Amino acid sequence: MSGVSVVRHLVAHDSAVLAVVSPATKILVGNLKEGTVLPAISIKQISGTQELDVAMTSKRLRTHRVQVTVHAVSGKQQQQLIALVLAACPNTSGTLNGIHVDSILPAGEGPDLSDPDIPLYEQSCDFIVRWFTP
Amino acid sequence: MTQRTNIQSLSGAVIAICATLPPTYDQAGYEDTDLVFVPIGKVENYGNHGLTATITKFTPVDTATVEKIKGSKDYGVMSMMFGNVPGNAGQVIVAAASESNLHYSVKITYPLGDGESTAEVHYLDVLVGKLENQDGTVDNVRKLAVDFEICKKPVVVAAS
Repeated sequence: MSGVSVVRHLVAHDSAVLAVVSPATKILVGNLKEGTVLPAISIKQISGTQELDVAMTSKRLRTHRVQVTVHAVSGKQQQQLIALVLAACPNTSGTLNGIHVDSILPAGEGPDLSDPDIPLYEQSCDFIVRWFTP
Repeated sequence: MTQRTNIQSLSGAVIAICATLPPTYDQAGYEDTDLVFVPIGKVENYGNHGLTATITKFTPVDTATVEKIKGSKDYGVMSMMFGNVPGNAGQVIVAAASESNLHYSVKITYPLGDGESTAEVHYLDVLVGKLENQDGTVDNVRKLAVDFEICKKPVVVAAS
C-alpha cells in the first residue's frame, strides 16, 4: 500500500491515458527499462511522512509525495500526457484499489526536459497522496 | 520499587476519560472498579498540568526588598489538541463533557520508563472548558482544541 499504488491505479485505468499509452504495462512503478517503446509513464515516490500522535497505536494517516514522469515521442505529446495525467488524478477520498484514501492534491509540475537533438521529451508532475494505514 | 533514572519522551502515553467520579480522591478511589476509563484517540498534544500558585508581593519602603507570600493554588489547564475523530468513544465522552457542568475523571498512563514494571499514572478531576474545531486550509488535518480545567491536586501514582 502506498501513494504510488494509488496514483498508478488511477493513471493505468484512465481511458484517455490508455488511448495514448498502451498497453497499461507501459505505465509502471520505478524506472523505465532500457528499450521500452515510447510513450511510457513512470511513477515513483519522492518522500513520505506519517502522522504522529502520542499513543502511536491506531491506524494513521500517511502522506506520500508521488512523481509521475511522462516519456513522450514529441513535445506536443509530452504536453498532452501531462494534461491527461493531471486529469486522471482528481482529488479523491474513499477506498481506491483497497486503500482508504484521504486526498490526492496536485503538488506542482516539473521543468520541460525536452531536447529534440537526443531526442528526449520528458516532464513530471507531483501529487501529495494522503491515505490511511489499515 | 524502581523509578526511572533517565529522561523519557511522551510517546506511548494514553489519556482516558470517565464520567464517574471516585468515592475518594486518592489512588484507591480512582482505582475503584466503578470507574471505567475510555481512552481518547488521536491526541497530538497533551499540553501542561500542575500547580501554579498565586504569589502576593509586598515591598516595604525601608528595606526596598520585595517580600512574597504564597496564596491560592491553581492546578492548571491542559490545553490539548486532538485529531478530530467523531467515531472515537473517548472523544464522544469529551464532547458530552464540554456541554455539561459536571466534573469528569481523567487518567493519564505514561509509558514505562527504563527499569520500570508499572507505569506512572496521573488521575485528574476536570471540567472540559473548551472544545473548538480547528479547520484551517486544504492541507490541514481537522483537529479539536480542548481544554481540561483541573479542579483538584492531581493524584499521582508513582511508577515502580
